[in-house]
Amino acid sequence: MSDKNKIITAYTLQQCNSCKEQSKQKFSEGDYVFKEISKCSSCDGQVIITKIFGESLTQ
Amino acid sequence: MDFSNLDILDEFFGTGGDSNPFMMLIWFLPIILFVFYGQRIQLIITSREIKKKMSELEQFRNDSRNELINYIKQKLSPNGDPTEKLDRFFDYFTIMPVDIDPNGIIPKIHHLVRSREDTTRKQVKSMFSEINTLEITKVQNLLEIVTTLQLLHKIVRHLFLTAKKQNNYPLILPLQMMLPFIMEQAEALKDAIPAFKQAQPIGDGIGPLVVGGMMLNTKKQKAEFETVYSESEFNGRKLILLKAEGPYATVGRPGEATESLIEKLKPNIIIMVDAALKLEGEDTGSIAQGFGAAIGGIGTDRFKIEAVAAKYNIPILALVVRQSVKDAITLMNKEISDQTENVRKQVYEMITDNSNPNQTVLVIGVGNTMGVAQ
Repeated sequence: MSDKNKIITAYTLQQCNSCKEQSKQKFSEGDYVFKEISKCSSCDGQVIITKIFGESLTQ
Repeated sequence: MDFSNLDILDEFFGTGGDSNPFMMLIWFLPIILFVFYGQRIQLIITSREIKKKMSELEQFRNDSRNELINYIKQKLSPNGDPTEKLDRFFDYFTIMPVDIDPNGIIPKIHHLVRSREDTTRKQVKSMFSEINTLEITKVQNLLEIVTTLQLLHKIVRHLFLTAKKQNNYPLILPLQMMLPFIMEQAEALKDAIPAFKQAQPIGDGIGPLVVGGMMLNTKKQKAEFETVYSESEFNGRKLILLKAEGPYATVGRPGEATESLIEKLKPNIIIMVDAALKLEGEDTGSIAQGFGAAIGGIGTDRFKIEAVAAKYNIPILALVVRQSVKDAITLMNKEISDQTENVRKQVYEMITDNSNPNQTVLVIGVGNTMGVAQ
């Protein structure tokens, strides 16, 4: 019963490889772990996806 | 109506006497009924439950089939309507080699499995004029899911109909006992489809995720088909890091790759990182260390790794992350993902504790690397 009320949402965790700043965002198609995303806004380091995982919300 | 006089009732139900024929009939009829028809009654009751589960299984199979067909039609623009071809794929079967062969059947099983994979890949490719490797591997995995669900449904239906046809209650008992496990597997397969359609990492990908992180900023080289390795250094040890090529939905060919790397680079120890099935009561994401080749599948890759390690007398250490069947094939959950750094730390500890400086360590990340690059 509890399983049926669970909604699993996929998130990506992005991290700058220089200043280690992290941000969590909803998964979007084409994302994969260790994908280089962009330059870091605060230190100009490279931001990569370090994790993709599912979190469940119980309704 | 006057009920004050209960003599008539007493006559019928024999509350006062001990030889009333009507009362005897009431007592004996059910006994006779259950002695001669008990199994049939149980068969009817059990059948009703099994029928319910069977229709659920059929629903899973139909839904997964439709999802795959719609995915191919809408996302991949195939040459013509792929439905007929796909329906043929779902019915593909594999005849295992004769197991009384005294020369060993592993090479035969290996050949059979590889032939099946290669043929399926070619068939998938032939459905499109243009398709990339990621999509081919995704479709191959999705095909495997639908084929397995179809097979589960067919087997359950066969056992059920045979028991019904023979009116044989004991024949239905093993099915009744196995059905909860079959349904658990079927539900896991059904729930795996969204992750495979979007190429998201699954729980089984923890091994490639750990080793993939260790491979960052190193030169990746092809070890085998859909399998890559790179060389690195840690505390004076030379590391050879091996995993399936991500972010494709593949487990690569770890058996053959390990054979060729051992022949070429002669490592002193092998460390394998993999997902393992947890026992009931164990926590998802718990880590365990041990000995031996940590690799699942039909057994041919494990055989190859064990054989080459024994030939060169190389110890094999294992590090596993425990999870359920469902966790292993659906989107990686947070409990497992959060263990990545911890597992990597333990791998480095294992390297330091079990090797000396200037030695070579082969670290293998085993599992499906979908959504995990390197």
